[in-house]
Amino acid sequence: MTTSSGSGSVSIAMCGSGGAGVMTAANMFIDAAAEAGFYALFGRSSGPQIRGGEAAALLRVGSEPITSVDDTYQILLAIDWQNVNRFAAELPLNKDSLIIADPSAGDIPEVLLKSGARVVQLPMKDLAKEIPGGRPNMIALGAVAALINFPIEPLTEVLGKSLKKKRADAYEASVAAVKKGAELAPTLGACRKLGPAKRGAARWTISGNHAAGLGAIRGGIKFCAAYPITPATEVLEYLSSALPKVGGVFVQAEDELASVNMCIGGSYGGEPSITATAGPGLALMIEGLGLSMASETPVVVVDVQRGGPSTGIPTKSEQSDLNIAVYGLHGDAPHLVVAPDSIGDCLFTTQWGVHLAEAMQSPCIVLSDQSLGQSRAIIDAPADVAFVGKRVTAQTPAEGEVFKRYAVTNSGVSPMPIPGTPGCQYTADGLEHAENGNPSSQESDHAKQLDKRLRKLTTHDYGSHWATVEGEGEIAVITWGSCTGAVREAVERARADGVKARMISTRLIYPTRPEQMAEALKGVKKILVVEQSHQAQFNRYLRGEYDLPAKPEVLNRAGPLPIRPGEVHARLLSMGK
Amino acid sequence: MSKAPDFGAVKTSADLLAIARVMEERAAERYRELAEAFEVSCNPDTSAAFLELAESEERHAADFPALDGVPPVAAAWGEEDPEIADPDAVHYLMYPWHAFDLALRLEERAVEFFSFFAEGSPYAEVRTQAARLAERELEHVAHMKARRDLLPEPPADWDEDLDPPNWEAGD
Amino acid sequence: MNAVTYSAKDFKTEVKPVWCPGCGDYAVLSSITKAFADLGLAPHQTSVVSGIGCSSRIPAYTNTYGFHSIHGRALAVGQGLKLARPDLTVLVAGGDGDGFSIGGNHFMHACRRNVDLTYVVMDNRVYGMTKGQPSPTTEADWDASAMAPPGGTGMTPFHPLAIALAAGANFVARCFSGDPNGTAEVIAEAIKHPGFSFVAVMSPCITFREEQREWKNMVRPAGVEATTDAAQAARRLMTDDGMNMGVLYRGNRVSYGKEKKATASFADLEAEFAI
Repeated sequence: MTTSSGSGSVSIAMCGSGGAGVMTAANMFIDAAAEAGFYALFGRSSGPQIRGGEAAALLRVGSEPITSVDDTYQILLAIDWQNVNRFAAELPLNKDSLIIADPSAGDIPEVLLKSGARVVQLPMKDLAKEIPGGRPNMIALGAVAALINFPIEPLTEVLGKSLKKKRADAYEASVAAVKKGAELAPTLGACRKLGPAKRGAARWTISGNHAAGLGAIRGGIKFCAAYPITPATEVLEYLSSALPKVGGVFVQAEDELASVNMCIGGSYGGEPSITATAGPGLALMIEGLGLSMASETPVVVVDVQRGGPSTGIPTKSEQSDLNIAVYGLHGDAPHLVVAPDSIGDCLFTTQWGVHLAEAMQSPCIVLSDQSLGQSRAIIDAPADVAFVGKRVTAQTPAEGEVFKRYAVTNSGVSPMPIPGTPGCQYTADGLEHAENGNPSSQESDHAKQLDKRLRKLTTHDYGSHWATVEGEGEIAVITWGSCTGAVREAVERARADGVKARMISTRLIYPTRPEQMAEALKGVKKILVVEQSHQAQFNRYLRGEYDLPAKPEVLNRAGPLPIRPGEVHARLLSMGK
Repeated sequence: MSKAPDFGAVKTSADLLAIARVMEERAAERYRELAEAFEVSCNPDTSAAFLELAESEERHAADFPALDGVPPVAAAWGEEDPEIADPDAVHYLMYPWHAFDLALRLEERAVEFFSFFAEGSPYAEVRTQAARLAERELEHVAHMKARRDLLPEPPADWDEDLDPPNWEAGD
Repeated sequence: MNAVTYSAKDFKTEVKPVWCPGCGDYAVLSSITKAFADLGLAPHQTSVVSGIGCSSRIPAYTNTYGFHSIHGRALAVGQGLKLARPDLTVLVAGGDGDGFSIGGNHFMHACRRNVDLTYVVMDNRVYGMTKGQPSPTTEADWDASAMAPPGGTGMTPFHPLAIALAAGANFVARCFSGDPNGTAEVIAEAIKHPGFSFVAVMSPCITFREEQREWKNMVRPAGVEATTDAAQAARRLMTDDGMNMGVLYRGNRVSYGKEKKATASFADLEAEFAI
């Protein structure tokens, strides 16, 4: 896994509202950056209005892969200041930052000036008016690009692709506006510049949600029942068009109870099945996942975590569904829980999740989150991995043999027939059952089945994918999910400062890997757990499920503010004394 | 959905004046709601325009004797009033010019409303008062047209928003 | 009887709605507050309960004892409130997605149960808040959505009024947000009418269903008086084109629930177990 390098990147925030077009400009910029051979990360923040509300595009561009936000923005450009207080906390600046403001937008909010950032004026609205059909967001785009040494040709090329088809005059106007902005960049003063792009392997631009959808399809998913919920809807929208194209079936259900149970039905029929949801929807699906688990009918649920509890903060990221994902099912109900650690990893981990669910006939929850799901990144084209869902299927039994659906085997996995296979008819059941599938309340059957269902998960060989372990040192930072990028950068910075630390980012949340974790923690004297949860759910999980060589320190908080590399770095330095 | 006014319910000049006052007050209320809606949609120029219209309607309302008791039923609400919920009347990207243009059309409807009574009311004092009120509204029409024409007409692509609807606005 | 009278404005809060300008829900908010005022209700004795969605944001905009609950469960919460506190006026509100999709089950049973409350659904035939997926009342051939297959879902649209009738709702009406005065009158009547009153308001979504601007040219007052004959109402509903506005059915069922009255002491209860 390549490492990211904070110093070579530039972070840019663009604010504007209702028709200002900052999102359009940011999207074009990302597309152009991909053309030009850069890496990038693009997140966004907005108000609750569906149209016309205030919005901020949050970009980070560089020559090395980017998997985290930086500590501050080098550029904050505002076409207007409408309600920017709503996201001011997500726009950290310092004295090296540059605020580019349209003078017609009025006073710059005090909270931003406090940072000591330098302020320059750029009359984007007036400049746009001078160009027939010109728009302020294009002036902004040109100015920002030139300011950071971003080449102009990829921008005009991207404009050509998206606008030439619509109206030629819109294209001309936009190019003229971009060029005008670029022309004025030198008047805005000094700014951190981008290093040269490193062309090389093929690249993709993709969001975490789309990556999860594609990963599902690569893993062999053939059925999806969907119910939209922020911030997971894009996974389902992607599957709604892609799945039928590969011969699969997609259906919009009436609610989450229906979607998880439809998936169980589809899976019982032999088709690997998936759905995607967020916290409130996962809560509804819990009973269904219990049925999936007890009847050993595999199902994959992608949970794109958002601010909780209850309706919470639907548009912001958090890592607070860990408890319910691992412990939410009633009864002793062990099941698979995996977590991607970056946007690109959403593809691999979802694909892997499908593979694991099918191999072990278990529900699998894929814990993504809003910051991964709804951010777009330029990543190296993901390698093709050989993880495809493949069930251990049962064939027609020999003469005289009776088929036992829930037969106790060494691996704990019982061959599962696809309906249509003669001689293997069985009734799947949430009721506890004997090996032949008949309902049973007997102690021995219950013990056998509980043991088998646990054993099949714990004895599986997950290989090295259970976690990403990087670096060495007596300090270990244990983290998961979207915090991984920030932790990785922090560890690098600490190393440069002479404090050595290793990072363990767990991709397999459940089942636990005691031996592999012990190996990864060999020689560790201090542990720091980093997570985005108010009650430090991951820390409690680690302490409860693993034997740790030291009591961890914790760096945790709830969403919506992301954990930034600088704060982890500072903590590591103090731990390293 | 325009219904012919109920001539029978408006018997006196005082009745008609009460209706006129209610119309102005309701218009002011609606314009204020619109001003707020455009503040929320981050369209401060149009918000300011609606605020100006609200204040002007309040001044017009003050010309009439204060109401005592329940307003007359004949003033059918929703027909003469600027409807905040009318998809054809408002758009989050609309310009101040559009706001004054909307107000102009509503003033023209008010002229029509009072003209109906001036011509069709069976009561003489209502007809006389209605004719006076129609004249007054004609002045408002002229004033509103002038106010609107102080501003340039919005560009042809005024309602083009390249940013997609905010899919993050979820619950 | 209230000594003070409250105006429609008294039922609104300072919170500014985040709905898109032109959204039909603005008018429904006005209709509801006007209905409350016209009935002489007091804000502290009224309750607006909702689920999740654009329409369900409405409690925050009303000055009542409101509850913005969870997706699809507004009727459950509302019935619970009314049964525990029959003295309050309870109005449950939400959209077609919240009410007929995830809330469909509760809708059916609320009609059967006939608790004395009013259910106002702002129907725009789309899931607005999550970016425009088909809802249960969406036309079978509508496919301008990232989640609808080309040619539309092909599913027969839910017919909430017919289903309400079949399940036992005591008052059934259809309104249009473009006639806020008429809608206010119907809502007021619905509140006064005992039992479960269902008011379906067609409320256009100008962001995801622009074509609904045409509704104002298509709706008309129902040409016939409301009936008290459920079978007749059902026949009319199953054969109309969905554009007839007004009260369609008034039933005579008794509202669910008995008067809360204590008739035994703790000692009486304990006596059952004593030997």
